[in-house]
Amino acid sequence: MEEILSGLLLELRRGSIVLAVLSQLEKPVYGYYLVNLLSKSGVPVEVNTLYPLLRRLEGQGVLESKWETSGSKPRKYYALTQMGSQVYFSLKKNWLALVKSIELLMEGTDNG
Amino acid sequence: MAEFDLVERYIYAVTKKLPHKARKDIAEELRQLILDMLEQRCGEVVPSEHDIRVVLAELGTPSELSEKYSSDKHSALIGPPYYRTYKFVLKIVLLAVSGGLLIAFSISALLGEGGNLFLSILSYLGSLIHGGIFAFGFVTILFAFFERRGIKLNESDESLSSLPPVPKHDERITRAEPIFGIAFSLVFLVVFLFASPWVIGMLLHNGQFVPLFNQETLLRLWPLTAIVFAASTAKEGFKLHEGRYTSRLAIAMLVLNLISFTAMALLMSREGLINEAFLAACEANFHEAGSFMQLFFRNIQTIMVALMGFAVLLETIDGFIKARRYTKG
Repeated sequence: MEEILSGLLLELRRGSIVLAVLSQLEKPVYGYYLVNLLSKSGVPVEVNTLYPLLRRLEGQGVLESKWETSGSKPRKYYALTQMGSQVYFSLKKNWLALVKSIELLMEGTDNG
Repeated sequence: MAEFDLVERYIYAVTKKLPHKARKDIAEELRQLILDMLEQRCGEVVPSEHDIRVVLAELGTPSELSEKYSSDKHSALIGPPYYRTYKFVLKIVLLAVSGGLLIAFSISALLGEGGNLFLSILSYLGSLIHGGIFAFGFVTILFAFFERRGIKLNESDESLSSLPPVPKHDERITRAEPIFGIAFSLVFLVVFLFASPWVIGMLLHNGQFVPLFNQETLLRLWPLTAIVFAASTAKEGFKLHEGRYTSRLAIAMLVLNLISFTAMALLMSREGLINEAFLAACEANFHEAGSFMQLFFRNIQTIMVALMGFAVLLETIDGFIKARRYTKG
């Protein structure tokens, strides 16, 4: 049962990670900062998941990146593009509606 | 800085299989990430090799990470939409190749050609492996090409209204029939190109075997044999694909039958195809001039073309009749 549960949880989280990431990228942020931020906010994301994800979103035009070399270390900062902001906006709307509907659906069931 | 050599080796292992363009950028980003992680772990202290190993382990093995970085597209040689068809086609092709070879070799073994049975079996196994590998490679490359190019195999749209009705029992083409057909054309190909001197001919009273065809002429005309093979294999393959008698199958059968008949007729009508020694043996064997057998063998080329034409005609007409009957109902 444990195995099934963890598999289902993983699937459940997979989609929501994107939303969590996008929500923090209105201002430019670098990868590792984001890892710590999300982990503190209760949405831990593996480093080796987040970095490839950021690149993929950049490839899709949702994010844009810039190397910042003025600090002590060079770092790659990611932020939403204009299109990315629109994507985030509608994803967020859908997410909230989904949560509301599912809550309604689950209201009738006993929570143990 | 031997410890950081490990980091570099790790980064190299992750990025070496990634697309050239992204490699440098990913490497630099990873390097900074690892430094950040080390800093978080060790603070101001210089990280030990153990720390580095822990951090790298957290990132996963190089191949895992590399896989996550590479886009999913074309990560497989033959991906999900093609894989089932690929397996299906492969099974049929391998069945047809091994069956065809088995029949061809049984014939030549029965005729006592090759002498030693053990050696014949060995050579059969050899050809089986050869043919199998060739067929496997060919089908795989074909499907890998489809995958690369994203060629759609099922052109028919899947909208509900265009779903075909469930075939009634006798309009269904069983899979065995086309598979047998493919095996048969394979035997035809092998026999015509490689084994005709031992398989097609006449056994004389003194035990000598006189081949019907001039093998050299046959070999010289190999493209015609190949066309016959290709057309009939395509026909059987289409039957297999359709799984029932339809008008487009009937049309395809007509066209392909026409092609193989034309090629066959061209092949058969070629002068010098029939072995002179065979005709001479006929004359010697069937003494009465004008006897049926003599007439038969004199005109064997015409007769073969006529027979082939008749068979092809029957099959084509049958295809159209069945298509008509079943598409109406």
